[in-house]
Amino acid sequence: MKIQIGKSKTVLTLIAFVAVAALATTSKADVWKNENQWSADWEMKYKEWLQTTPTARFFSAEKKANGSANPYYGIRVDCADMVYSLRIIFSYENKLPFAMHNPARKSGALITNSITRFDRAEDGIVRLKSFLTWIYDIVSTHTIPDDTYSTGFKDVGPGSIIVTSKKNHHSWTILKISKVGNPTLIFNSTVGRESGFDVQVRQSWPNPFWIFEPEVDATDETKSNNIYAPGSYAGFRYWRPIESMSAPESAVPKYSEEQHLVGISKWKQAAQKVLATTTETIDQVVIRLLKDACSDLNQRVAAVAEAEVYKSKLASAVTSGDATNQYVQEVDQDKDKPSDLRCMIYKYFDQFSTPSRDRRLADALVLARAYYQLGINKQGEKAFLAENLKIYKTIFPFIMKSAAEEADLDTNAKSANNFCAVKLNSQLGLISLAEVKRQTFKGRISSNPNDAMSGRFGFAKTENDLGSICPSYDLKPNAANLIQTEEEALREVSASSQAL
Amino acid sequence: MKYAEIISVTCLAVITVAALVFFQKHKPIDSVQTTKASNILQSDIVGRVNSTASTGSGEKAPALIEADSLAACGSFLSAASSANLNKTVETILQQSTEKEILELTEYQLLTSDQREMIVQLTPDEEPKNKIRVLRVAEDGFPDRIKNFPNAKGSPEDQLQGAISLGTLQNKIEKYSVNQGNGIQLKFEKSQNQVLRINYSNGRNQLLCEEAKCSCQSF
Repeated sequence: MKIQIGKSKTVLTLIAFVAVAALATTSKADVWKNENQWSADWEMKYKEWLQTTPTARFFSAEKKANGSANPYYGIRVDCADMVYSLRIIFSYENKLPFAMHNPARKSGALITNSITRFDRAEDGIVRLKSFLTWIYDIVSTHTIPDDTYSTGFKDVGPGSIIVTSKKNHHSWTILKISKVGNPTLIFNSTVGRESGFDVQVRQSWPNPFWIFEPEVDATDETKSNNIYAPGSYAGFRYWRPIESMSAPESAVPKYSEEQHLVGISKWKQAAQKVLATTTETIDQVVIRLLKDACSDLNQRVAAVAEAEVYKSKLASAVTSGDATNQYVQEVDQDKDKPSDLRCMIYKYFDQFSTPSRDRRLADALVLARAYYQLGINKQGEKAFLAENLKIYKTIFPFIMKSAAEEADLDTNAKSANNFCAVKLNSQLGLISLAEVKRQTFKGRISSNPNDAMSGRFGFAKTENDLGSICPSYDLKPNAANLIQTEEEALREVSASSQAL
Repeated sequence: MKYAEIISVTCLAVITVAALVFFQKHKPIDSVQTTKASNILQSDIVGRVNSTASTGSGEKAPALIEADSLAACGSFLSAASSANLNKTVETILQQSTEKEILELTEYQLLTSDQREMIVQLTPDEEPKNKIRVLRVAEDGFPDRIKNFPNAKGSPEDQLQGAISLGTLQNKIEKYSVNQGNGIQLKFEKSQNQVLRINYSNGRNQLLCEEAKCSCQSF
């Protein structure tokens, strides 16, 4: 009996001890524990990783190249999420610290991987994904400048981030730099229920006038604030060292304002001059820009198709009277919903409208044209390979005129069977980049998702193109004032012409 | 007696486990509360200001910034020598060729269950992030609230709906001025009173919050 009681006491004491120990170990679990510290070597490894690992299928491939399961499959990101994801995922994989400012308390405690609020999630990828999901909710393009600093041109490279003005609220991470000094960018645009998990990768320069576009003054909407100035948050940036998170931005080592001093039209050339090891010919520039535009066109077709899928699903649900359908419920709950239920509510209008994307496409076309014109003026047709010249003549048939004049003169619809033919749908068939350019220059490309595929690409409007009868909320007529866009392009071309 | 021993050890185990569970849910509010209550400045404090001067009328005088205790900042502090935070910002702005830009308006609310909530209005931000509603959790970090009254409406409707989540405690406007050469001023105002200043020239940084200013060198 004595022995039994003694054993019971021992067992109960052991249980108490084990319970204490178990609770202690699970109560303060980091997202991941630091085993390494950032250093010049680790920054170099981060840059190497960026050049080899992230692709457009970083979150959409179920398996990695080696056949193992992709732990990041199914993560859905927008542009700012993508920027943070790359740094966080590399830090997690290499047990390096990650830190960012708290958007609710910028001068308070940092958010780091040591945060313990996810300790109930299973250690490893599950906990990381919980952390990422929370991060995505609280970051935006607006928070990136707080966690980064402005760099000089010589420090631009893999890992550098490009942030636009708040007006265009976009960001990219540079994966690599080509020999001629062009960046390969990874980013994402629209995120919604209809979007897949692919992200975007393209080799090109964003339009610097778009990057540094003035903000609307918050106190007077008729005025705008110039943000291209020393100390600006827009342009090239890099992650702050952990030890400099509290320091003023200008005290961070390698902080530089030089990119905000060279002039917007020279910003790209100044960077390219530092980054390039060989010089691009004019022909190489033009064909690269047209390939960028082709990539933009393909993405635009996919984006417009997504909008059509949403409209089709909503229409089916409304017709069938399915009040439990999530799309129908969203429309019902929107107190500002349009009276015509074929029209999109604001949430989806914003998600599916493409003013920024269309602006980028227009910019690429106008810039390609400006370089083509430069080549003709400087060297004549011999500046170009014969097969490329044939493409350029199709797309820009009146190169000695201004873009606006060409828009008036270029009246013949272009064949679908030439450079960069993209399928719209089974009804409309293919459209070529030359035809898209013609429609863009005439201002017929519609960014309005209430228009159908036909209206979105400048075809004759049908009864399905509802852009003129539905609310267009705050969608501003976009595409580029062609004259202004050409002026910007010519300034950039002039700045680079001596190098070419 | 022997059974009493068993019972007492069992009770000890149960109490220990219960205590641990209790403290997991109700963590001591030391740095978290301090962070929430006074928005502790992150930088190391080099010098502090004696802020209790009295005017004799019973009103508290504006804080005095004692140059000696902030010698690390040297002549950088000449703009801040006048104590009053409104005056300090005014002096700095007079020396600047750039005007201040409103970066963010923040509405600090208290919910009916005494939880802190922050509504941020960012001009020129993309629609989905123009109005952000952040509930401050017990650990001091925010949780984004996406379902709130009028969340699918216009920005104006969203703001009204978000503010209706609690009682407005404070409306703070956050401004910034970039003067180039690494000189940057950030300040926060509420009801025309400057509450916080963060002024830096890349080598020195002046931080002021309500009655306290400090300076450090980098």
